[in-house]
Amino acid sequence: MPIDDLKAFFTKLETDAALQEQARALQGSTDDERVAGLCALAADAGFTVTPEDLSSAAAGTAAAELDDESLRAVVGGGCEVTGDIAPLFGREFLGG
Amino acid sequence: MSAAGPVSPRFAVLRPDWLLRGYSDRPGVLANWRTGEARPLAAAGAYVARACDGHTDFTSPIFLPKHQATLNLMLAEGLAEECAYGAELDPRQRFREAPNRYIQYTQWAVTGRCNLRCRHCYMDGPTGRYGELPHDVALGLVEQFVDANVQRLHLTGGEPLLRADFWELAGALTAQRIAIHQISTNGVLLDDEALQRLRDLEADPILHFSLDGVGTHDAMRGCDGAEAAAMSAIRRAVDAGFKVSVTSCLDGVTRDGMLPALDLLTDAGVRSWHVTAPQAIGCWTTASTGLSLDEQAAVCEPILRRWLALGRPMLVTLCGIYAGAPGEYVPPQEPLHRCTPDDLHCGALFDDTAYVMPNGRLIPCPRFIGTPFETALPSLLDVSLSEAWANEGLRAFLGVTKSQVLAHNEECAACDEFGECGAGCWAMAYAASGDVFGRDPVACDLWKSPHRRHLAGIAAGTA
Repeated sequence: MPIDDLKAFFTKLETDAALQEQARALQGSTDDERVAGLCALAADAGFTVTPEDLSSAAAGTAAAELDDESLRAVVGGGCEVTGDIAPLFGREFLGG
Repeated sequence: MSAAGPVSPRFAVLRPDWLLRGYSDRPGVLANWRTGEARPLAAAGAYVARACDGHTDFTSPIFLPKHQATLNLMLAEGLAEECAYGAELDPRQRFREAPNRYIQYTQWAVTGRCNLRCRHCYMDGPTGRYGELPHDVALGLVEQFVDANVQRLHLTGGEPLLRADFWELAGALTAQRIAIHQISTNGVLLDDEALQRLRDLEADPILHFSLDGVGTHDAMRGCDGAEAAAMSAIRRAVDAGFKVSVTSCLDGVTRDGMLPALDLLTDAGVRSWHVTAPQAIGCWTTASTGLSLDEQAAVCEPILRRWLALGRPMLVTLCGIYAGAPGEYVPPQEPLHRCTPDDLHCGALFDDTAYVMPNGRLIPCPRFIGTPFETALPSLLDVSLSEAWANEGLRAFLGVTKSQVLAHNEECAACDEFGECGAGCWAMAYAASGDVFGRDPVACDLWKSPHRRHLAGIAAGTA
């Protein structure tokens, strides 16, 4: 399924620093060239991604299929630390 | 994509207070080096944050709508800001991956020495038992914190300001953008110059003082004038705009000074006040003035009533019997989490929190100071923090689940209070019986007593 390849490619892109560098290097060219370059990068990485897949994803029509994570999951579950007063040792403070 | 027409490029950078860090078990965490706030990121979030470098065009096809939405959220929450192409990111903000698991918070006892003689010191401060590391070794620890991507530090002691090189160490930390989130001090050395030096470091720590009651502090601290110095420092710190927290140790000597302390601390404008009974470690193991839970509750009830009458001026915790937020009363909700046997015994708190003793020993929690576990765990003089954080002994320690404790402890396994008590604290169990899997008598008394419900009823106006 192309959509599976698209999803897998972006999953790899999100976590592969070297691939990210290659992808960012595409940004100086035209839109069509960037899309073609990204499809070529995907192919080099073993995924079949077409310009149409990317168009669909960019338009948001494939977004739900690409990723069902909520924004909460993407950005994390909120502050672990508020920056304000926080207990030191769980239930209670130690003296000292 | 070209059919959609030309799109203006879009660039963003992390805002100056935010750093991007990675760990072996987390793709990314956005950390605020001034406040210590942490925003853990999923892979997509880390991908977007890495692109907030002033040079990456977010209109590129390498970003999907979910990435755009994540960027918009980061912009809305003040984590990043839009910019023109080429805006420079401080190199210290850039993504930096540590080889170790996530360490969010490290408490660093920078010295074991103290200028007071507290009767309850958990570190035997009066004898200076744990000393302090030489300057160059301490600076080496700062480098270890950097390499392990420690996000924020709580500097404690002993009395941390007693270190001759305290400000150099603090400066080294902030220069490396490690948040000094909290400093615990007795206040004696915290003069106006020290407060200004903190400001000059651009740090915004919580200043955490000790005040063991009005008219009783000096007796607990073993030095005349300690109370006046502490109160003076508290007032000056609040006036200087710092967040101030106070802990008061309750025993038979300080009990009469607690209620007056509430008025004094309210007037001073402190953010939080924690009344707590000393624990049976360090100097307190030979003390004879400890109060029973019933006696503690008898002190806490009038404090609670006064705190309510004053309009809930600060966050308070009262010996584990009551905890209340400032401002309007909000009825307590069901606990978000009830303990289960599968939970880590120490809870998630200690899965990403470390404590470094004055001698460089890494332990999970200061409650284990003076126990055999102290020497069984790694020293940062022998291995790096990144290596030590993977130490099998430490991992085994942190990985113990409540089911393992229950298997050793029939009383807890059969107790109706387990869901909230979680079988208590193993350090407290060890202090009581020499068995970390044993019964924690403090938690046991607390959760089985009627005091928590009684004080909650007073706060709710139903008792």
